[in-house]
Amino acid sequence: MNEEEVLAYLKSTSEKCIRCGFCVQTCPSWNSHGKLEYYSPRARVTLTRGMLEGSVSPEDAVESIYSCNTCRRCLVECPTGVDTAELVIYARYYINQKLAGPSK
Amino acid sequence: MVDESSIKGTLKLIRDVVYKNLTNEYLPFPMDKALATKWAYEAGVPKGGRVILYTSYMYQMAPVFKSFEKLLPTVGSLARIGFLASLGSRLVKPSDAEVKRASTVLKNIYAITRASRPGVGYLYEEEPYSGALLYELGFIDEFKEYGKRLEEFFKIRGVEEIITADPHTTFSLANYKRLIGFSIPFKNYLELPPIGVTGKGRFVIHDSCIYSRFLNMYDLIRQLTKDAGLEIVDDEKVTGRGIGFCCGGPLGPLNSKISDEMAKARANSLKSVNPEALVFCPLCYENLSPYIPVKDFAEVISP
Repeated sequence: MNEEEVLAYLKSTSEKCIRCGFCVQTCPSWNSHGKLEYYSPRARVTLTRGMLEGSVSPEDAVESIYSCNTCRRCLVECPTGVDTAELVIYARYYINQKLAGPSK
Repeated sequence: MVDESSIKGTLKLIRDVVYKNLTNEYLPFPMDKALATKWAYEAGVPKGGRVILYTSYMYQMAPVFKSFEKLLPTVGSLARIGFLASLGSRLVKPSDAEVKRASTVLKNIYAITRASRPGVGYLYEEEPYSGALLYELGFIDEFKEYGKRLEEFFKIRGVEEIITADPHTTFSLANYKRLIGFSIPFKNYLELPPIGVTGKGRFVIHDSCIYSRFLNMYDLIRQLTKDAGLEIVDDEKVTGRGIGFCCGGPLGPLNSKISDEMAKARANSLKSVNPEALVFCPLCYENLSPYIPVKDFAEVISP
């Protein structure tokens, strides 16, 4: 994927989330972070959507996005098939570009 | 809580220093190659060849990978003064017991591989790191560039098939295939015919997330353990297909405290099923072993 395709992927994947929250309790990171919503798969998807729309800064999302284990446990419960583990890898790519600067 | 400025610093360090190390030396940080390759000298593994066993140093250096968070500042300072591969002695090393254990595991993986791939070789000190860390931390452009270099590296050495020993390396090659068309065939050693593999013991399996949820190896692993004569205790709520929780390993490089919290929680759920766990990944072993007796599959079988 090139950068444009990454943005399109993040947008279409995050828009599939219906915010039902079935993923939340299955997340080991959420469980180990005092069960705070910010550390849940649902929050990671919402924050990613917010970054793309400009309502959330990468600085505000970074801790949530980097607290994901990318274990894919949440995908098992997701009724719309949001693969948060893969979304997080590309959300990290997006954040890396913004915070660490462009590659090379 | 993860400190935001610390994450920014870590990201820059990985992007600027670790990637540079990989580009120059095919290693993310200095490591003691004599320790990492000792097992192969002892086993008399042929050097190089058309088919190679590719460890990516995962079993040998898992304790170091686990402490990557603590290691990064040292990596940064060493990089600034221009040293790398020769300075393994200044860095965290696995203990003698850990080296011995990794050696047993790798010798058995080698024996399983050799049974169906006679003449399989190993690249010894030349062996490159897989680049898994780059992908997991979202450095996709760097990961793809490194993958191209790796493919060329293997092709120059006449490698026509790669046998991997752990999930993270296998997944890296699968991602290279998906992202850049990596063309050298590869298989995980667990996918080879388990010729003459036998073992004993009663275990609860802790599935690697990559094997079970990314590479679809949940059934293969249960069949393999059953065929080897191991007694496996499953509980649908703890070890069911797709259900098992993560050991916390992937978070280790950035937040070892939370990673340990996850390991403790996972170990407690496994203990409710059986007192001893079986793993198939060196990072799962590292994370879980402080909290539950655990063995790697390749150390409880005799090939």
